[in-house]
Amino acid sequence: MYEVRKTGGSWAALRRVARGLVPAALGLAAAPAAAQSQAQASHDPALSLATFDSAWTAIHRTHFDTAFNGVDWDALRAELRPRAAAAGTPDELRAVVQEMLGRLEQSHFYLIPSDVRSTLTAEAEALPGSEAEGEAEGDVPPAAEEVVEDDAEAGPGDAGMQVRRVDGRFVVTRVTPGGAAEAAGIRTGWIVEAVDGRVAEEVLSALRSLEGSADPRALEAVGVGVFTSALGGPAGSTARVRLVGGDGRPVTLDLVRAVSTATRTKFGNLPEMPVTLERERVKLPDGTTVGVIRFDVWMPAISRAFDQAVDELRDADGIVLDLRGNPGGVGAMAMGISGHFIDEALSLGTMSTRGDVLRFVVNPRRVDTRGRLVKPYAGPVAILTDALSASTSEVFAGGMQGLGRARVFGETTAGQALPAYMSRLPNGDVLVHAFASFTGPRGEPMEGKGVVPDEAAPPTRAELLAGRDPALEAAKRWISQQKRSGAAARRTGPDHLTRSEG
Amino acid sequence: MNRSFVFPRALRVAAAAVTLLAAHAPLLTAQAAPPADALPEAQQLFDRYAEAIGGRDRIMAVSSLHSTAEFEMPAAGIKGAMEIFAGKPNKSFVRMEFPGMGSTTTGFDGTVGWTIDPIQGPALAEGGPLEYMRETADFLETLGNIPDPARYTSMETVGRVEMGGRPCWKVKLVSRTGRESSNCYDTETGLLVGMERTQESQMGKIATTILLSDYRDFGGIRMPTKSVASMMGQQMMVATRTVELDTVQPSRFELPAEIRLLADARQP
Repeated sequence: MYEVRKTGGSWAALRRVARGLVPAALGLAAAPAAAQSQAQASHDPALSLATFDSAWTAIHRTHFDTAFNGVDWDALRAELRPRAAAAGTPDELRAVVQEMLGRLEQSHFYLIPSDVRSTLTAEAEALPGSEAEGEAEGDVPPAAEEVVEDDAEAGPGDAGMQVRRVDGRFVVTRVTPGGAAEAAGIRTGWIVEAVDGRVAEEVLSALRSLEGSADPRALEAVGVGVFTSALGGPAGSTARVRLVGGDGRPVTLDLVRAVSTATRTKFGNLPEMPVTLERERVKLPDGTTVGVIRFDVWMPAISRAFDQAVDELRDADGIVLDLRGNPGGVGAMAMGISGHFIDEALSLGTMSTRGDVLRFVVNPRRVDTRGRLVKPYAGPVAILTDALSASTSEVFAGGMQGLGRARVFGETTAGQALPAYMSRLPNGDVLVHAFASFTGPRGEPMEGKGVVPDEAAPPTRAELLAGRDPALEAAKRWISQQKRSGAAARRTGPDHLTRSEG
Repeated sequence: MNRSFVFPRALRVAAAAVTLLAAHAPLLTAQAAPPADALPEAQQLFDRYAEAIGGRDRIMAVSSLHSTAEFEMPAAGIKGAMEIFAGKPNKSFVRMEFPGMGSTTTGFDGTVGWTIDPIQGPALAEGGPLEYMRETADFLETLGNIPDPARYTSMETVGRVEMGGRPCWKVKLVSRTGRESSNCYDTETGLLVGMERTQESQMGKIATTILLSDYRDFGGIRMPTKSVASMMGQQMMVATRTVELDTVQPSRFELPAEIRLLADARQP
């Protein structure tokens, strides 16, 4: 009954490398140091069994596929339960649970450890390329750990740069204006060789060893998660980064993490996480005005800011929604956000649980933030995606694309679009487990496949070094063409807050 | 108190969000059915229930209700406060506070059904969801869960079952709009211990089982102060803290400004 595509790879194998790093991909890497806990301090065998049983039972009762994607769920319990009982530490228990989840070979089955940060640290250190492997001499700032401890009260910090895998290397793809990376002279396109002891070549080597057995998009997420995690840390602490600049010369820099400007938010069992929304209005050389809205996670805390951004950009010739790196979040938000651009109660897609079929219905937004009647934005909408755009980002992008309301630019998304619950287990960990399949507006499954862009525009290092953003530029060109073709006969908006290009 | 109209908003958020749990014992267990002629008439069960909670006269004398409660989706870690206002003949206003999200409100003024939440904005209910709101906003059912025969084409006792660990008589109800539901009345106390509903929202229909317990007296009417709704493998618990009768001002049910705008704009 359910069409759930396997990713064609081994989620279990991937998890052996990625254990604990999924939260990093979720944007949780900057969880406050205060969240650290006594990771391995105490261990209760009875608690282990209760935790294992709870996880097994939750999936047994809610998995949308009563055949469990071909896994004999009862037999799996019999196989793994003794190992759970014998687990000597919390992390050993987690490994058993992760193995159980991995057998399903589906997205949205993983653990968020009760102590995200300490686990991230532990797992990252266990990865090839970490300081613990003895490969990173000189890559760790002096007394870095002491800095973390000392500045634990300083709140989360931000090194001011984003890293992605481009042309087979980890490369700086975004430098935050005014941030530590920019102040240090770092530019997009620079190659990242190491961050605080995480050595890129070693991580790449580990990922390469899994090529063919795991989805490359998931591998990218894991690899990026290593460096996202490493770049995060308390404000005032130092990240030592080793890079190769545009001129090919290596450089090592100590970046003092600035106080993060992100809003800290928490919803349900999700750990506290930083969220940011940026918007700008850009005027192209031909006079086309483009609004760009970028946000990093689908959390309720950005809803109001998004509404205000749309209000401000209503008169633009087109709007670009940048979902690159956005791992998803609260699925219901897709219905409200899409309503800013669609004036009918259309369906972005359908989720099917064991007993119910529910549609993600657009709620047309006909009242603005000032309480005035408006029409949803009717101009061209471009959506930017990459391999890290997942879950709600895919529901939204795939839905908007399928309804013909948006054109997607960039790279194919993660293919991880299963609605999931987040259940707290007896040991305090959170079990993320899918309870529904999801298909887009044309009935197409997104799990495994992802949203394929209408116009592929992957970044290259050369373009990044030239200060170019292929996906964004392609979207702008399209909006400009739409304007010229008359598809978007719209007023030219006010020039305040407008940045001119060219 | 009939809370069935309360759940769709929470569900809409929770189901489509990343949330909620699973795991609970089977809620409804069929027992050996007695001969059909041994089943009590549905109307008998309603009458007995009305007496058990305070009597029809007391219930009919109430014109409005205001209750405060706490709701919780335990495994999702969502817990918040809620307020319910209801008035004759079929007006309702419900506010739920979701930590990390904000305030979600739902209302029905007898004609217009609406919702406002921070992530989806204001919306008017239309079609099936509006009809569902109209049906579930009936004040007497909200207050006392006593079905009004005029609203149903069929009310039939279908068996003796067990809900939430209590033996009860299950009454199947079919509304004039064809909507099926069931109530289950404790065989010993006569109290309503469970309900089965198919809730309807813009997203679709969701089968829901609601267990009611911990009855307490509020102004001469006994009401359940604990309800547990199970839907799509998750649970939502509501614990009533306070109940006031006949204190709600009619203005409470007036449409919020943004909803009024939408409703006026929709007028032909």
